Amino acid sequence: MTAARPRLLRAIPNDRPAPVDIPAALSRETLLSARDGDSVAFAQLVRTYYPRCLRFAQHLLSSREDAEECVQDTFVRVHRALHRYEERERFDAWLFRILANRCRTARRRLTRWRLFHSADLDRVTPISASRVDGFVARDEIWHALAGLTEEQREAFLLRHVEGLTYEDIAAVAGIAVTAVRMRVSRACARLRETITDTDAERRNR
Amino acid sequence: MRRTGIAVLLALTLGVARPASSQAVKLDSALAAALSPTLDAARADGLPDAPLFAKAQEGVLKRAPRERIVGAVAALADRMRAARGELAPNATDHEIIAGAEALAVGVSGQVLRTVRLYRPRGTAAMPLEVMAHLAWRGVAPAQAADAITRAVAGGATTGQLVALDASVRQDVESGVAPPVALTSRTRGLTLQLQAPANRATAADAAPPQSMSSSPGAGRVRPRKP
Amino acid sequence: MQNDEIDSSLQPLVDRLRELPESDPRAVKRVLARIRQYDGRPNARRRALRRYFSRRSGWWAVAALVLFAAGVTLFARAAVLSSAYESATLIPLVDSGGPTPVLLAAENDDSLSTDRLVARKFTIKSLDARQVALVGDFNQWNPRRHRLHRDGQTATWYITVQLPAGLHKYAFIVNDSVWTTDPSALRTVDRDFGVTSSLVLVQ
Repeated sequence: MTAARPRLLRAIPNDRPAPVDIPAALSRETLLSARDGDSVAFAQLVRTYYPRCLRFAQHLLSSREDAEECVQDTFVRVHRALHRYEERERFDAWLFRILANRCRTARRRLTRWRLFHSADLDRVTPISASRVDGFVARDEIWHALAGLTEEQREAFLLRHVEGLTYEDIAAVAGIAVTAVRMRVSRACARLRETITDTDAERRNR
Repeated sequence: MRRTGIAVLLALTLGVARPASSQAVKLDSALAAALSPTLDAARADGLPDAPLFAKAQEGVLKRAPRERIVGAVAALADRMRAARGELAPNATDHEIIAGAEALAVGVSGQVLRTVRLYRPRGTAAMPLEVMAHLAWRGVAPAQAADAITRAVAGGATTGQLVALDASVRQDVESGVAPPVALTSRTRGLTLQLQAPANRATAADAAPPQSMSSSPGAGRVRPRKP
Repeated sequence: MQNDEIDSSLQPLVDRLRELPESDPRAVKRVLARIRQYDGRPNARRRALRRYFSRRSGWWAVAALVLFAAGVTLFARAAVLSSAYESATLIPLVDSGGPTPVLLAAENDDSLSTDRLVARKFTIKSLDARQVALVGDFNQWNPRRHRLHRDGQTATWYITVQLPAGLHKYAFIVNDSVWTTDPSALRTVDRDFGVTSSLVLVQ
């Protein structure tokens, strides 16, 4: 039996480096220590970024419990992949790329299609039902976000809540910068409409 | 006695020869009647009918209206017909089905012809399926097609193409955008295909960059293919 | 003002969205506990491996490499025959100074027929399921063909199916009424019927 020939598929990146931008709360030294395996530094990293990650996940998933699960999963993956992080990229952009991916996975898991039994053939076929664990969409904020598509919501939150650049968001979503701008524009337009409608409703009561 | 034996033998042979897939599907009579022209035409053209039955059954399970099921089955038959033409001569059933899937995600017929040029009969299916898989993962069909056809033209084995797909998946799960992941991993595969004898030396001298960051200036400059 | 910028009408909404949630000190501990459970210390492990091999003399290192390569071959063969797609094809990345990685892939399989069958395990977690069926293009979307088994201790349902190598669409049907895609797999957009399925490439 011959030994398997070792093969290698290498990753060869070729774009320009992006500037590094680390929040004042997490020093460069702490980040690099965490990258090199310092568990105390990693704990500090988690404490620093956990609230922001939870904020983003909650806005996307509408459920605190699911958002917590998603964020914890993200940090486990961050821990596994941190040794591959390079300073060319902003750390929060790298982090949110992983987080957005986990949120998309979680959202897919939470979407259920309901098929009716064969006895109900006359009923309407598949409907989507997002599971909203104990969370009632009373707040205008949730009503406004619910009017956006998943992609628009993600792009809007990354841009105007998390402060990522369009280039970073393009990398997160895997689309062109122009497409990101369009998603954000549409999200803004849709949110303005929703807010205007809500104001009108309130005045008419 | 002898004639009876031959008749039994013939009956058994014909029974075994009939494709099992078409026996497994039961459709209601109205739907079966509506599908009959498409299925008959496909069989007459020598296309595999199992995928067409599967598509019909999928529509039944998803409670789609009859017209929609008939339309979907007809569209699949058309794609298989087109794929067989592009993968001529003598495409296998698996290649036809894979080609139809590639066409469905937006890969062009020209790409199928190119893959056929480099892959003998029976080996074109997996490259096309990897292409479709990458497209579903978020890579533009044109980029997926370009990467896979270059790899195939460069002599990549099916195992290498599958490993490429798995590598892209790993990178995407680590946070890399799919198009970026495919670009980087394709460069790695290209280097590997171009210089297998120097692979160990190259790996020791200039290890590749991490995939978890967005692409930056790498320490290894890829050679143009 | 550009359409993608925040104006006075959107500012209150954005201010609310920017509010950070109440922090739970136990949350960070839970993250660290999960990481310890996983025990992922790739850097420390890799450094330890490097130190081990650098201290040994040449022929020990050669013998270890030969045994490792033989073990990889056996694993790759077993992976082709029995394991899921991922275990046969994951590629470790190279860190600077690290050992040359080995691709745990199937052997040169251009000689293998693409019509061969490959064992593929499907799993899904469901707390409220009484029964789960697997449907896909490989079983004519028939919910009676492949019923999943439940792990007695957990909420995990599983089944191993022999599939032809290639691309397959599938989904789970829970309790005969709920169509569920596989959270660990790619999803397809169903242009034919509008109901999303999962996608797997089996090799």
